[in-house]
Amino acid sequence: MPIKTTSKAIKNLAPTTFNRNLWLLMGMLVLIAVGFATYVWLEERVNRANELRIQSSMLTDELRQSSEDLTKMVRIYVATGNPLYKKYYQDILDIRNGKKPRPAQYQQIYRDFVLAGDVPPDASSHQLISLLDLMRQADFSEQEIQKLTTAKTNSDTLTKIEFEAMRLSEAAVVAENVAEHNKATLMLHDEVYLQAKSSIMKPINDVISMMDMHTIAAVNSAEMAIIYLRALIIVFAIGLTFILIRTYSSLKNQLGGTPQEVYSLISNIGTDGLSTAIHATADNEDSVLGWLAKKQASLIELERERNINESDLRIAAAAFETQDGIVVTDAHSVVLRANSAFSKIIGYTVEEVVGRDMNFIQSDRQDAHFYTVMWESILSNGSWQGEIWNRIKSGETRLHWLTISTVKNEDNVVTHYVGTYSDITERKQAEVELTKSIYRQRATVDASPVPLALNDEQGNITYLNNAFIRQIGYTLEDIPTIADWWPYAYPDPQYRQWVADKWQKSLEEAKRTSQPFVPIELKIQCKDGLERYFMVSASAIEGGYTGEHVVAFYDITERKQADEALRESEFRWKFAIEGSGDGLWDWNVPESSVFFSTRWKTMLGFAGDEIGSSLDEWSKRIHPDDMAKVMADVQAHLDGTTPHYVNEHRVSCKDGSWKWILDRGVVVERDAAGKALRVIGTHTDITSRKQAALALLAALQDKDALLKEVHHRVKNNLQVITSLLRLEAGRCVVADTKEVLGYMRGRIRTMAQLHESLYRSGTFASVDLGVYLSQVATQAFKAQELNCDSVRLTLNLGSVQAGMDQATAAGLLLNELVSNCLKHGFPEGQTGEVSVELQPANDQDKPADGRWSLRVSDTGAGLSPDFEDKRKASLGLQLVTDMNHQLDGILVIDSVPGAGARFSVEFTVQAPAVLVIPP
Amino acid sequence: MIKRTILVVEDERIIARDIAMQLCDLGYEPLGPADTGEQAIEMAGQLRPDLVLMDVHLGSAMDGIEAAQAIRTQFDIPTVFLSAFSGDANSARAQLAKPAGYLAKPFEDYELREVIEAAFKDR
Repeated sequence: MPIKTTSKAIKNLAPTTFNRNLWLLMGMLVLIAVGFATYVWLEERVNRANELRIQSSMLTDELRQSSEDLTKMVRIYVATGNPLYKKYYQDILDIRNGKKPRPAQYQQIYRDFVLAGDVPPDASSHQLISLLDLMRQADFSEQEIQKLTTAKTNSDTLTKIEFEAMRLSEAAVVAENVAEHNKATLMLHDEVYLQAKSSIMKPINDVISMMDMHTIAAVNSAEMAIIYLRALIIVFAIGLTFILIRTYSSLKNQLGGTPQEVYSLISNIGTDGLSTAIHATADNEDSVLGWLAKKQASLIELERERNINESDLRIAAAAFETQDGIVVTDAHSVVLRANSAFSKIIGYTVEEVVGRDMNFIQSDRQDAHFYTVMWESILSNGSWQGEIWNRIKSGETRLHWLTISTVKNEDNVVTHYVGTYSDITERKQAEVELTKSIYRQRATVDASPVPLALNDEQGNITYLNNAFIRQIGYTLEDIPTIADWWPYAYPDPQYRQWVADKWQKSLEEAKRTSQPFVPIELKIQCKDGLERYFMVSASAIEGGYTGEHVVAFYDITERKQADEALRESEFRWKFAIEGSGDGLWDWNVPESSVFFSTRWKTMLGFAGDEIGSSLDEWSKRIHPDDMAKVMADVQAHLDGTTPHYVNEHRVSCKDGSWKWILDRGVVVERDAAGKALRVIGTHTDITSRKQAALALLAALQDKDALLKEVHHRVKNNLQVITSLLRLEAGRCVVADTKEVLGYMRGRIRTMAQLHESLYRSGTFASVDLGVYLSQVATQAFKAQELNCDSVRLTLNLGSVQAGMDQATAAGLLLNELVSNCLKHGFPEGQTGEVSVELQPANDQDKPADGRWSLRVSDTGAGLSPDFEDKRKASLGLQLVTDMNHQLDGILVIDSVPGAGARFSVEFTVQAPAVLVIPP
Repeated sequence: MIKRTILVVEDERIIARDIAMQLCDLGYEPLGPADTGEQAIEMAGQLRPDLVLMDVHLGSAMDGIEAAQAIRTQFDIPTVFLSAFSGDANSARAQLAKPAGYLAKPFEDYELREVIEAAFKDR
């Protein structure tokens, strides 16, 4: 097998090239790391050497500077004698020798700032260390230390000279010896001093040169090593790159392509399977890719073979697994194979069936003879087919259609039987049902109350149901064919022809449109000789109307007669209305068409043919002023708001004149939604009536105005009379006469008041008696100005309508009674109350008998004993009697001692007489 | 004290005389009477009364309401209407003249007094 060979090749190839390269790479990397570490260390060394150099030069410089500073201090001290400089001198010495702490940054310029008075930073925290010790710490070489020690020793020598100069100068100052002082100064400037100073500086200079030498040497050696190392690292890096390239190319050779290509191919195989082809070339034949390509090719080949085998198998299985159940048995009827359809038909699984004798499903529905005949056929003909009842697993017996074929070998011996089963139980049942249903239909047809006839395609009448025979009378003996039927049913040849044409047309229409036959209304002469109406329709039993079909006859004779009667009654009704002189209209609302009767048209002066049947014929003639109201009334009735439509409006006539029409109508038909479909109504000419009413109204208005004017004049005249009386009274000097004139004015005022009330009532026929009498009482009371402050008037008057005559009488009566009470009841400023009441006599709100009682009472002095005498003398009280008489009332006068007088009149208030205006 | 002057406009002379007498009794000085609306305006302009008593119905082209309106606008003199019917003075047209009062015929002494007092009080 090729696969095993390739796996061996991988094993051989891997350690030789790839592993060696890996080890080389590792070594190289270690070497580069070591080289780089050394390089860093050397760099560090160079830095350290440079640092030492700077530190050393600073220390030597400090030594030189301290010597310089000492010289400067001593010279100043000797010159000035200021002890501060001596202290500075000592400080410098002490710091150098480590006896005093070193100030911070002492190596920098320090002393000049101290001299100038700048306080140096706090020195106490710093170390106590001599300059020489510092130098030793600073890694100076032994030779250099020696040189520096020499310089220090020489400096101490110089110090001694300086101390001597200071001592000399101090002594000179004490002795005030100028010469000595000059000597001390000279000591610090002479040859010896300068020589000593030079001897300090020389070793210092030497140290500086030596130090330079040795530090530069250290730096140089380190830098040299760095250069070598750099070259080495570059060489290693080149080597590493080379090895990497070699490793990559060897890997590519092993894979047979770049790693990306191989990765994408493998991932494709992982996701898509083998559909992505791998191309192997001669170059990469012996690589991973080459082996993959070979493997793929072999797999594809295998897949193809497998597919071919599978489809063969599928075809075979499909053939076996048909809807029909198939069983293969051996020559002894033992089942060898069965398909799933068979299993489904008999309810047993295939496994349960295999190995069993076929007779296990045999039922007892068919006797032994049946099976004998079956087997005889199989043996003689080699096959059998027929219906067979089998018992299936559920226990029920089912009818199967079975075909048995024999399979024979070369020696013509039966080796196998093949049985094909299909379940036909339901089909058989359906057949039975169909047969039954045909019988049932026949029964239905017989029972139908509608006469039915069956015709076949040859024009024979094959069947007539009971209803047909009962209602139409003919039997099959009478009309065996359609040709026999026609002359019986339609004896009039002309009508018969019409029926034949109509029938043919309907049949053709039904055939053409595949719609049901549209019933035809026909008049048929029955066997009893009577003519009856039928709606006749036909329906085909099996598609199309050429074959057998049923003809149904619906008797509509009664409906027809009812229609006829209705039509007649409608005609009579219309005739009756027309006879009354009213016009008639019949409005079809959805179509907006109206039937206008002849009378309707002649009412407006038109001939019958001058008016069409559109709604417009009416609406366009309506007076514009009446239009809105007419439409509103019509709509209200159409909407069902009003039970009838009634409206009076003007309609223009042919001659241009207007006629007043009383238009009445009612919706007689509505659809399911309540929408009006048909409205019938009448037009009545009410022009003359309307004109009379209008004339009457106008006359009434005239009379009204006239009455107003009359009342106005009367009142004006009453004012003139009042004025005359007042003028007369004003001129009169007799008090009695003056009083009489006043009473007269009161009576006239009472009458004027009635006119005002009548005018206000608007009818001039009646007044509210209560209101009117209240006004009369108030006016009468107010006119008697004398007592108005001390006497109170209380009113309690009910409301009742009274005619003018009664009102006049009652008003005058009340005026007299109030005046009388005020005149006699309250002499000389006596206080009290006058009460006027108008109430029903029997304590009812609205007495049915119309009896009312008018009472005037006061709380004054009461009736004087000689009242009856006075009554005869007083015009006022006589008037009361007269008015009471006029009212046909009962006057009662009584007096309660200490409680004043009381007058009461009970009378019947008459219903106001209707004011009749003469025409 | 100067008496207040009142112009009486009334075409019925008897009534006019009666009113004038009553006004005297009440302590006013009656002027006029004027018979017509035109005359009333003319006299009101000349005499400048404090108040005009105006009959609504005058037997002239110009009625009382019209005259009262003119007098009010021209001379700023208030008017009390006299009428046989309360309806006349209560009409919308009469209200336009802004009457100072209204008196229904026939009227009593006290009614005349009260309405004039009320008219002057309003001033």
